[in-house]
Amino acid sequence: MLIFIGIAVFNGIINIINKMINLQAKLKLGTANGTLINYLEGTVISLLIMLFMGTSKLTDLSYLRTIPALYFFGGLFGSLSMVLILIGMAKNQISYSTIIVLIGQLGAGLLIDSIVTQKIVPVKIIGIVLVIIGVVIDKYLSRKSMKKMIA
Amino acid sequence: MSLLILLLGGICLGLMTSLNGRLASYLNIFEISFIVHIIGAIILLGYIWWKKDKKLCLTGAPIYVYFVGFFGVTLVATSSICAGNIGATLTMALSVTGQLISSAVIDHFGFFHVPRHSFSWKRIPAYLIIVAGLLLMINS
Repeated sequence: MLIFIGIAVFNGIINIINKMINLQAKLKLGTANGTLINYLEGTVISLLIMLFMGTSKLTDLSYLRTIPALYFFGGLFGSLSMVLILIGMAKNQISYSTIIVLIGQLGAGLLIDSIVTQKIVPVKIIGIVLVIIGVVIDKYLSRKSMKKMIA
Repeated sequence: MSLLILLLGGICLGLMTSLNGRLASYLNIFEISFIVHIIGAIILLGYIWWKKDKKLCLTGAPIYVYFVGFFGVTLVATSSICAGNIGATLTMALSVTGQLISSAVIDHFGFFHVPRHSFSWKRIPAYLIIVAGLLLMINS
């Protein structure tokens, strides 16, 4: 379990570096083209790795039919979230937006996890609430000190 | 209305991580990454084609921008493998913690040309609350 905890934290670190590079791409090429680079490259790199690894289950239609169709909608939801967050962030402050997105994200995750495991764990909900409270306080404190610095 | 849009955006993000985590039981992480990226690319190409005022242009950015795909693949691959093993909620909560830590480091040292913003120790209690929440989630 510990290895996956480490990988998940690493995912967050990569996420921020990715956002920083994406920001530069968007500044130079515009939002749509800047994001498109990420997706096109991701497609090509994933395809190359799949080819390098040899046979892929993606070419086995009878195997793909055994997978619940809903599981393939992850990519669609990902693209939808990208559009919705871009629209929403244009009308709200970034720190505020981040918290709303986080609430939706963890809420949806909790719902799916509860459906899959067929149980609701109250301690887990308390943990999620604490994480959200911590993020809200951190955003508030960092905004306050930022304002002080500008003043 | 815009808050609802943001909330929906967050829900979709959570659904993506959860569903990709489920898919990890059937496909390897690079196959999942391929599906996620090709769907995103098709949707964006469709958007650029539909918005007649936007033109397809992929040149002219700094060289390091063209390495962004590696990060994209790493993100999808790592989140899928973690969601499949420790659950989507814990994966996302840990990822947010990683984001907070790396943002603080980037701000403190002024990496990526962002204005330098020294780390304030007053933020430690907020981090401790997050860690407490994570520990509860890990042990639940």
